Amino acid sequence: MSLAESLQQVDWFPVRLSFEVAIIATAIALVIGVAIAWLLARKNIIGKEGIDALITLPLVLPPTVLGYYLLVLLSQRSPLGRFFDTFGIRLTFTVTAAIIAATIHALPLMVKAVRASFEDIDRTFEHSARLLGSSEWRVFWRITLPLAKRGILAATVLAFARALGDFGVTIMLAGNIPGRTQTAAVAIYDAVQSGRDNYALLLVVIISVLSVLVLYTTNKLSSRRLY
Amino acid sequence: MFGPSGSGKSTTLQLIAGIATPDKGRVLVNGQTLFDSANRVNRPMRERRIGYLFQQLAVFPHIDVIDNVAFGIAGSKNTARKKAGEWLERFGISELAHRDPSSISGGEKQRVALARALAINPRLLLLDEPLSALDATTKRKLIEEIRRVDESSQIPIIYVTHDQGEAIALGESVLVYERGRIIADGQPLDVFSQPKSETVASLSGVENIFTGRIVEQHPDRGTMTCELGGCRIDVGFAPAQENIVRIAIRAGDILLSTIEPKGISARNTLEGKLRAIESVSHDVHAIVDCGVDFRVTITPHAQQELGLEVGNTVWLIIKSHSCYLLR
Repeated sequence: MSLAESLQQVDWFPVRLSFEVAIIATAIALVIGVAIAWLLARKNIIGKEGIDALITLPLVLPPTVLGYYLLVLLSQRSPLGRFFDTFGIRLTFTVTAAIIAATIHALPLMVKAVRASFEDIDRTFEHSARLLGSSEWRVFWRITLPLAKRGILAATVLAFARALGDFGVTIMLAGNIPGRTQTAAVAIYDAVQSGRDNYALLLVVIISVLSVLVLYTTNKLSSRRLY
Repeated sequence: MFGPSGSGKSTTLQLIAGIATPDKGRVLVNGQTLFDSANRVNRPMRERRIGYLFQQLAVFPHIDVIDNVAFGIAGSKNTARKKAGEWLERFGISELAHRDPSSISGGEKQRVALARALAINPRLLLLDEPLSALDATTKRKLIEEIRRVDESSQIPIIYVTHDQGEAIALGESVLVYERGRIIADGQPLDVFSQPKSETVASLSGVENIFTGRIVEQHPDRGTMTCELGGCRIDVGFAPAQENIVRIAIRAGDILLSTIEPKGISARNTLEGKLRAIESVSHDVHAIVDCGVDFRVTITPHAQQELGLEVGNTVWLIIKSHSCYLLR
């Protein structure tokens, strides 16, 4: 069998799924993360430290523990699960579940990194913009965000890597259903358990190459100082 | 607004601009209330129409010069850019229009910031030590620039500095700050010629400040005698609450003589030894030990003519009116 033929015979589903899940999860984490990061960096809301602790929690909890909590929270029997069920949306053991798992796994990192980027920006710029007549939205869109661009980009890349590589939360919430919810990280585990070493190795190599690419890109983005 | 670092000048500007909120009080500009704690008035920064020049930074680094100046101008992008272009011309920096702010000099940056602040037609201009990071030549050019702005527009300007030269060059009136309070106000030359506060005195370059003990008082003559611990001098009479006082004498108010003075009107003639000679910008400072060290300013010409050398015996001539008490 030639290399091309062997490659054709490979089950690419886990890799494709991992990618799709990671991209969507990162996009969601980006939007929510930037919003939360801005609130934490710039506003003094009540319970700020509580929100910060809540956001950091997924970083601290063991992934399977986090997965367990999410399972309980989103299962078909829970209030949330029943609410979404009325729309025909199932939140556990589906691709949606994999996306939720990856998002929750990536969000804390995104918030922390983006918050640091926002806090790095000298307030004088924002004050100047306000004194020149800009609304808060304009200050954010024309000054804060562009100046934090590099940091946000680096955070996004890291969040993507985390979303791509999650195992514990994903397997708890989305399960290990081959061809349906089996992401690459889970597929590697499964392959090793069932003795399919070649397949495992292939997946491992692909994920490793991607991870190195991520590291390389992050380094390039953060080493070039914008101003 | 003049005073040492940390005396509250910048904070006051921030309170006026709305960057910081006062605990209590009012801010009015030309009769318009911007803040009033009693009546719960607090106009947001973007409505105050105040131009502000910060000490450093503030020119937006990620957009080019013309867009910086256009930033606060209302209207379409093209209208704003056109008006911005006019402002750049007024300041003679049209050629910088499409430059990246990181590639222009400190002086040019401050011109851009000034143009940007004036482009919104502010009701008040606040300048927070805008020249402190610049070299002397650039400073002088920008002082001229600011003077021109002051003369051509009717916009009131509040200028914060710890440099006496800037205060004298630019100020119509001076408020002296110390530890959050205004301790003196008036015309610059009045305030600085005989500063009563030790902080202002040292900031204004009064070179001799001594601790003395009042030993005799002559209110009828307008003088009192103080022991400096090594010599005695007659100072201008001032009612003092305590016996121990701080006395200030400008180095430029002291005369130096190589022969013992006779028939002189000044109350103080002190004999001393020339301990050291220092060059300070265009002058020469002679350090004379009369029991305590006096710093005396003379011209290099005088030093040569008198043939002054370390170790010489000299006499210092000081009018009692040149010696005054600090609070």
